[in-house]
Amino acid sequence: MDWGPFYLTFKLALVTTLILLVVGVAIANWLAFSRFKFKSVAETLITMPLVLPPSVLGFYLLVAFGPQYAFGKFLIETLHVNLVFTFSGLVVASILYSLPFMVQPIQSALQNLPATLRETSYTLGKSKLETFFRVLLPNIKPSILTGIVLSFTHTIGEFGVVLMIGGSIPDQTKVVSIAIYEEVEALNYDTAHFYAFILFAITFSILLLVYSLNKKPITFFATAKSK
Amino acid sequence: MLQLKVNKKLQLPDGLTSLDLEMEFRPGKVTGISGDSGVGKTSVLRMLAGLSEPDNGTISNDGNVWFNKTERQNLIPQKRGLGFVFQDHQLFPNMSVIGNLRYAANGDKNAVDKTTYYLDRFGLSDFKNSMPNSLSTGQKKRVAIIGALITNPKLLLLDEPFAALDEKIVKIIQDEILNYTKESLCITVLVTHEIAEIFKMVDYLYTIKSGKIYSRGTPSGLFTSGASGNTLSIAGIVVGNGGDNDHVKVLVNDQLLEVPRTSETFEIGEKILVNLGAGKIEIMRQK
Repeated sequence: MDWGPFYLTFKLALVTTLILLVVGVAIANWLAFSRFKFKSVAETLITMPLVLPPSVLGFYLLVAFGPQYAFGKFLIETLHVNLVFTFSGLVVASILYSLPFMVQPIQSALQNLPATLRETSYTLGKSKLETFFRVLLPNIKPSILTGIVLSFTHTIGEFGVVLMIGGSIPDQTKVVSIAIYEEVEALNYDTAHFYAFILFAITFSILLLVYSLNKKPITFFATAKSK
Repeated sequence: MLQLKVNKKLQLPDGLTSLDLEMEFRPGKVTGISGDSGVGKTSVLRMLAGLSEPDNGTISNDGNVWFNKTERQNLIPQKRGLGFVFQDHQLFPNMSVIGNLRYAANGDKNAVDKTTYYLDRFGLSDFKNSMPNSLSTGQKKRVAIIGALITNPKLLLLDEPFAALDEKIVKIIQDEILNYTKESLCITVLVTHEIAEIFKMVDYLYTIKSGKIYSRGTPSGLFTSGASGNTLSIAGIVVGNGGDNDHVKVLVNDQLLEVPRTSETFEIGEKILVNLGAGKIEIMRQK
């Protein structure tokens, strides 16, 4: 049994989630309180991976990061960063693919906090940054946990994007979902079943744990009105 | 002296109103703002705090410009030296009572003694380690007032701060606010409907009506001149008929008043308002 795909999958999910936690919280804060004229365009773009077929996203990323177009050429020749068929490429793709799963619950929770919490903090002389870290974030912990878990499990489960941008290079881009697909193609159903069952059991356990800790249901669509 | 000369369009429950105000607030004095619900009193406090921007005009304090639309100046709330007790004030739910007050104190060592003093005076010493969700509305309000006082504000903004508080504690808090205002030469602005509060606390009163200053002056001056109109009211409950059935008996706090009957009929137990003006007392139904 090759445990490489599992190691790779969880490494990818962990790295993606950690980066998303920083990036997603910052974006959620901006979306929740910004009066930027074209905010709805930004919200649409961030939410797109929820509805877009993963292969479409993967295809555009492959085109963008590939050496035949300007951006990819710039990445490879100037910055010496190759994002096609590499683990780094998988991380970037996974961040884009799971972005709404981190941003939406946190944005929604921030918008649902009473405005007087922020305003009281400002009148006490606290900066926006201090208010954010000491008042806003501590009061939306369940939603941050939701964002972390959804991003982590969603990254574990991704297939189309990974296949397009990463292919199936053992120990570099061959994650469990791709390993399962390849085992089925090769009619190795026993191995496929083993991989699939372990993935099923792990994701089930993670979600069960979160539902037990979090009394509120996990939601990832913003329902709050901007205040 | 803090001076405000602004106008602002407001979307209120009754429709669009345009506030057009010119007001002054003096150090060491309590300035009252009164008027019917939804007239824009809270908006004045929010503009003074920098939480809401006027459409036009200026706000300045001792010659320092806080807001000037044409010059595009707008001092952030953090730099206005504020204490603000909101009408629907929220304590920070992730911090205990003492945690909330430490956050407000911002590491000021003098604030520790003040915090202990006010917690004791406001009857909250036993609750200092409690979390906000275990406190009553009145207790939360008291913590909020302490939070505003211990920051040594130069401008104290109070939006109906004594609602939901019982009478005994209100007197103590009012005395402390008055002491602080006089001793620290603080500019205190109090939004209130309560006539008793106005007479006890307020040095100078503005009443707002239809977006404009309707009357201004000392409370006693306004009431004897009749300039305050019908804008000041006492809430009470009808408890029976009085006189030769030409009066209505009304319970206001613990006092029984007899108010001349109008053409309207009032039920026993009904909540009413007694409107006071110069030489005129009138009873009306609460909306």
